Amino acid sequence: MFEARLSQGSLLKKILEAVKELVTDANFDCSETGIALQAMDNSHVALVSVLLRAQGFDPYRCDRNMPLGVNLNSLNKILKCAGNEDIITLKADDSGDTLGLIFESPNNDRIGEYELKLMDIDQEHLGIPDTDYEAIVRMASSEFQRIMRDLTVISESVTIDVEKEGIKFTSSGEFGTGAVTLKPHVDIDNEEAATSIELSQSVSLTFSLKYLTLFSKSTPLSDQVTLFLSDNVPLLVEYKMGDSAYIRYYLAPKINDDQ
Amino acid sequence: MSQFICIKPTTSATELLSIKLPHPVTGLPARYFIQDGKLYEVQKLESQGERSWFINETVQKDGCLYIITKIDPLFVLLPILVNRRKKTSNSQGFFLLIEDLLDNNEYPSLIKLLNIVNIVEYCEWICDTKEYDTNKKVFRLNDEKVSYLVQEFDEFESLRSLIKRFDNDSLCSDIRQALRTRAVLELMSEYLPSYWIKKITGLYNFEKLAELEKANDITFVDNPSDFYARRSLEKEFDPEKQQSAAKKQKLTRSQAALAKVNTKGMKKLTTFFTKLPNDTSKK
Repeated sequence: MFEARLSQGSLLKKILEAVKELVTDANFDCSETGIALQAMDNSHVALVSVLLRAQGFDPYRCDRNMPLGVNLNSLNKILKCAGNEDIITLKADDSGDTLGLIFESPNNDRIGEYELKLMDIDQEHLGIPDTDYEAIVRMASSEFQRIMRDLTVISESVTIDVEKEGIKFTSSGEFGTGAVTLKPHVDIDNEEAATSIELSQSVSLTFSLKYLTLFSKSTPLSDQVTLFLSDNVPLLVEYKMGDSAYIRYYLAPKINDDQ
Repeated sequence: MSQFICIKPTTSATELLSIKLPHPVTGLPARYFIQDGKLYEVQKLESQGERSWFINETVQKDGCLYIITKIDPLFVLLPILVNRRKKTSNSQGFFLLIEDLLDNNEYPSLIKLLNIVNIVEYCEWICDTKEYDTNKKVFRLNDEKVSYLVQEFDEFESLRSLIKRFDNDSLCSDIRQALRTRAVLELMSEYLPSYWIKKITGLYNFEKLAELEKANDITFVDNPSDFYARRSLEKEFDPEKQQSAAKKQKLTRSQAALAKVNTKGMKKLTTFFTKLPNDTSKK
């Protein structure tokens, strides 16, 4: 028996909007501690990892670990039937054949009940080691999204250079080049707009803009985004939703043959 | 109800005694049987999850076939004797009583080998012996005796008759002999530790055979274990299957766009992160 009630239903809606861009089918691995999802895109160069901790739900009950294999597109379609203010309850019995979804409007006068057929997904799980990243950059998620969108005009890839003085995004394409630099600053009136850099060594890595643009679809989930970078290690892009949930993206760096 | 299909020696009055012994080549635990003082090994033909058995009115999901056949106890004994003598560069090792040789904490059923008829004679063939008390013999493996015995494999009655079946009259006699010898060696390499196989293979010269095979671009032995490999190849080229796979992959617009992204120079994440074993908690 699995049951989880999420008072802030829009959270789930936004997560699905973000993840469905990257993967088609995925397992929601439900356990005592919460709901986890890990999946790679088709070319296996990017990975998305979502965790919704049990304490983010009220109540949360999971008697037995079970994977709920879901077609994310179908789930997203059903979640679109839920209002932004709705309370969403997820339910599954031990057979694990279907996932029940209940949408309650805040003033309790409308209840929607939906069921999604589940499927068996044979999925490999990757063990992601704890890494001491050489550079950790926090910035406004909307700013990150804008830079990605702007530089896509120039080229298909972006080089990210992090130094103490700032983080620089550079692209060069057929008809020109573009670069955006953010300097660390504190904004007292508007904490979300602050940029901070923790650095043990300056790094310079190149990534596919298309993927980063897709990652930035998580912008509605969190005001701040954190980039974790190290040489020759996948980039980690993290959006945290309070203490009880996060969505993390990993992307393999582009390594130039001529280097 | 647990049931399975096996081919086994004709039923006799005595029950099959099931024991677990280390496999002579891999050293991993393997299933053996003893009946009427003879040792039998078990071979399992995997069904690859593609076959099931009808047994009377029931269906047995696991379509494996077990084959129980006689095996020479020497093959099982050899690695044990090698281990127990504890040979060093300046000592030939220990002499031990047969009961001590077969006493093993990891494989307690090893001692059951004493039920095999003539087990002492088997040991005498490949060991030096000493009598230290009336009717008490101690044994120590003798490499030369083993080499000698193994080299005589051409004389093994069972192997010779087996190999004759694969014989091909259209080839000249020395090639036929080389073919026969090689086939026997390949067969034995499944039972003898590689050390011995290397030693014996060195005594023969298969160059002529290799040249001939190269020139004609054929192999003389059709290996039945290739069967599954071939089958899976055929499957890959099954056009119907491929079509359905293509149909199944419904991509969202952005995923289709992602598929076009130039991923040159990007390593797969599996090269950075290790795969975890699949969660066993799955239903």
